[in-house]
Amino acid sequence: MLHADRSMISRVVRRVFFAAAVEVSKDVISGHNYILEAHVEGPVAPDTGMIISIRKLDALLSEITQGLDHKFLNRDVSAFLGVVPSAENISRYCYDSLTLKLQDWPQLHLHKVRLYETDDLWVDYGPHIQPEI
Amino acid sequence: MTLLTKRYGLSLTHIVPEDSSPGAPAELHGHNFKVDVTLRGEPDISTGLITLPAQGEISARDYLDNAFHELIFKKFNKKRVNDSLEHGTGEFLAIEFLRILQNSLLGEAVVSVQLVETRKNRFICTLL
Repeated sequence: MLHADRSMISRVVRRVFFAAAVEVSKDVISGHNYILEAHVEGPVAPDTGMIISIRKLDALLSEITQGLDHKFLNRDVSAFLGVVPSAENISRYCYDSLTLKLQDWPQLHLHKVRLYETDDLWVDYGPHIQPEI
Repeated sequence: MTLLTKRYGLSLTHIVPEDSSPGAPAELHGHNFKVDVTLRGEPDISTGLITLPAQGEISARDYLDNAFHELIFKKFNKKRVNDSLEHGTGEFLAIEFLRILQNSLLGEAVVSVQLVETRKNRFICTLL
């Protein structure tokens, strides 16, 4: 049977999508097809062979993206009333939201989220992340 | 910690002798490189964007666009790398691009440069 040893860390990365309008520069409203990646770390459960069920992770992520999808974030999402919905701030919001939802799984750690605003611009947020090689 | 990465394009040519068959002449060739530049910082409360501390409200991403164009694109695009660097390798280019950007007003906000040479190989230089 395959076992991870103590020197190993396992991570599952799951992508979800949402589209939203944002006003980052004054009087300029832009729209983006965002891609949100959740990077979740934890032990691989011997009985399931998984860190977390993808179906469950999708459900948690969906709860977050449903509140953002096809919305004008500055106007429709309370978290962004008075907070600029830049990619930097949206990624922070998604990280904090998913961390709260993962509290029922204390063995799991949300390493970071990555938010793609376009193919050529993305933001990583996590309290302790470093540039990765 | 927030890391913002922007991807740029660059076409350049180089000679990499170590990649040639033994005894065969090193061939000049080129690639459409993708250059991923990563900035580290925290978003400004008023703009929501990572800003350069010494530059008021100039967003780091806007400054990076300009710095990349002026300091890297103009110098290297459609040029032969070996004419300006000791080695024309991806490793050397990643190091050089990181050094150039860190010597700009971006300073140590620039923490990593990744050079995607082909679908099979990429080179990364990261500030520890």
